[in-house]
Amino acid sequence: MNEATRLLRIEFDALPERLQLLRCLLRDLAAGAGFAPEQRDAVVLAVNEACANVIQHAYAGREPGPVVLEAYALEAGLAFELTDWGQGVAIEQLQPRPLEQLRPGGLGMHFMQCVLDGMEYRPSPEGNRMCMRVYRECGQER
Amino acid sequence: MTHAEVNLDKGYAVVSLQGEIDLYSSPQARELILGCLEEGKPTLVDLSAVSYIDSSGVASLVEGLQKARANGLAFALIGVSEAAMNVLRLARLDTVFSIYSGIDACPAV
Repeated sequence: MNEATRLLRIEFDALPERLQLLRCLLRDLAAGAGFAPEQRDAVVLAVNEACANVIQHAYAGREPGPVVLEAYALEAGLAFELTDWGQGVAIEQLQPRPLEQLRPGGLGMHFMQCVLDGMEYRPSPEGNRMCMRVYRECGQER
Repeated sequence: MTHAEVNLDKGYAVVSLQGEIDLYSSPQARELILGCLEEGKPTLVDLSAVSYIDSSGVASLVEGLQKARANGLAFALIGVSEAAMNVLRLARLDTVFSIYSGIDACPAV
């Protein structure tokens, strides 16, 4: 992400109680980047879901470890990089489930896929990284 | 979640949720909803004061719906805020739940 301007870097422990503060920061960031209110809320939801996945799964069964969220300005939107040092997940586990099945879990990936214009997961011993991009919808100018 | 409470009204247990329902607060919402259903009460979840809900909050509602169906109990959402409705639409659940404007619009039990 060398060519983009970094707007935010925050390191937090993988605890559910950290999510509310993260969402406050994300709301301000998306508003400042020119996202209209409805899409701004959707961006907050999608990035919240990515963070919640890490909190739930990356450090499951051990002490909550560190997570780093970085946000970058793109010409037409925002990019996010979410890094953890917990257990990586297999790519196939990141596929959203069919919504025809009425069951409680598995909606987070669906939300991310609906809202984001791109996401890429790169598990690595040096840090598991989820890269996300989202562009302003037509008619929204910065 | 800033506040949650259960009241009895017109034969329903009404679980009123307020604020932000996320991975941190949804266990409390889930406990309240399932608790009402385990007591055999027809249950309404009032989402009028919910400013944010994520997949874990929606999962608590789905779990409630499943439990109600399994036990033959009425279960519906009332006064759904715009923020919550947008998320239910995204999950394509806005046509799965029974949704009413308020308790006065719900069928008598």
